Amino acid sequence: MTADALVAHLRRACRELNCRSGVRDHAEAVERIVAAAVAAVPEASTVGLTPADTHPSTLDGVTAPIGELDALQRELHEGPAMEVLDDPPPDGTVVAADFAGSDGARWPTFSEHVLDAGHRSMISVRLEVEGAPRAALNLYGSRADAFDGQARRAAGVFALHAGMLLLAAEQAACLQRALANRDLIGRAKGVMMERFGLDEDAAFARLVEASQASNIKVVDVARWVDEQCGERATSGAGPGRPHVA
Amino acid sequence: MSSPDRLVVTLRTAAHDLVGGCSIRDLETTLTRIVLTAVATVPGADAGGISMTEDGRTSSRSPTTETISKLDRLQSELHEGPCIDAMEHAPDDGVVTAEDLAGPDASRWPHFAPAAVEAGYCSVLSTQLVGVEDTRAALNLYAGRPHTFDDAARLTAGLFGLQAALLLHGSRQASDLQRTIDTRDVIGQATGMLMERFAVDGEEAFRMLVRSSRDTETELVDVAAWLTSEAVERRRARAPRSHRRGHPASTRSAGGGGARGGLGDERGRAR
Repeated sequence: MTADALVAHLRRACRELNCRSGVRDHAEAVERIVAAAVAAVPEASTVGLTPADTHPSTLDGVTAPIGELDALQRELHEGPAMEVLDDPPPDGTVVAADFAGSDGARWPTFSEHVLDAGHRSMISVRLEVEGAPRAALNLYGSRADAFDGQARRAAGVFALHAGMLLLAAEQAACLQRALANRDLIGRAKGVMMERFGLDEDAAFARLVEASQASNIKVVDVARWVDEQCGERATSGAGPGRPHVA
Repeated sequence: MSSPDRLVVTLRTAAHDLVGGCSIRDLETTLTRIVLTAVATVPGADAGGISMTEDGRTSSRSPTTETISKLDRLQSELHEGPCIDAMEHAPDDGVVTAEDLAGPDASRWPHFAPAAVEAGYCSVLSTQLVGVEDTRAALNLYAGRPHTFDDAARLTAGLFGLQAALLLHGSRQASDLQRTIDTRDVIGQATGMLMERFAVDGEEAFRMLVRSSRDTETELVDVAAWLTSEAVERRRARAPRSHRRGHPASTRSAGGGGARGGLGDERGRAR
């Protein structure tokens, strides 16, 4: 593969990663990554993912693209995926040229399982971006030496792109959670502002004080305020017909 | 085992620099990071900037110097230059290079070339930042000497441009969500104020806001922002400090422990 062809290839894979507009969560990101990986590294016949379990926000809820062999490496603590997760080389990539040859001795137990599943070779590459879950992307080949230097390069670069997508997914999921809480907190702030004639910051400080004094999360304090107002409204305690502005 | 691929190692370092230790929720920060990392990563680059088209308008973003800002803007105004070609007619690898704007490339971009040379730049490399339909962007790198950007630089820039584009995409999404959160917060505040003022629940208060928005033909968020600022201003003007105790409801109830401590007692509102 020439340099131009490599970039063109990876551009196509990126278009798949970026397909449609935004990415909502990890599950969607991982699905896209696995689908696009074949465009980036066509030598791969099967693609899967081994999540690391050390990041606070892990991929543990994501199950679909994690195949038996991907999970097995973590169970056995053996295989290319474990090497890229535990002790990655500078390009983040580990290649098994032939599980039926010299690599058989390197990963004896895992090799047996890989060969049983009909694969001969493999690349594992580390997906890692600060702030996003870490994982190994596994590309399996049906013949020995399926992956040459260019394939390894393509996998290494693709992993960087996949990492960016995971980061976007992490941020989107986190902001979605914040969004759900923000309605409640905003309302409770408004109630405090109106009740005590406070500005926004002082109103929020009041909620935080109450949260700390009672050891209840701010969002739950806000929910409580909201519920109290709701109860008051249904009890008919309020003034007459409201109008705004 | 073969030795690690140096290109991949370089790009990994770049990826780390792009996102390390800072949030992607701020689009400007992301753009600046992309430009600075590109200048550090692509061999030969002296300066750079991003040109971005949104809603039909092209602007120069995060230029490393004022001169770059001018040259990037000039390409948009003239609708001519490597940047325009990269955005609109990118080749397969997404990269357009000007080898020597004082030499053979002068005729390729006849209006832009003299200005770039005059500013001290003979080489330009523009990489398309593949985006979604409604935005077009290119990363522009400049160098003083002619023939600066060779095949290796072109390859590095092409691949770097892909990861930068993905990051930009994610950053744009995150900053949009952040803006939505801020909007929702203001709407929430206004809803809460109406809940308190008229002793209604959240749904009814929200309906009041929507009605008011419709009646005044004003965006919901603007009605909300007006309402919250107006209330704060009014109180500040009337009773600078003492208004904390303005409502009979606002005195702290003796039995109001737990979350209720300091938040007032709703029973006081029932007149």
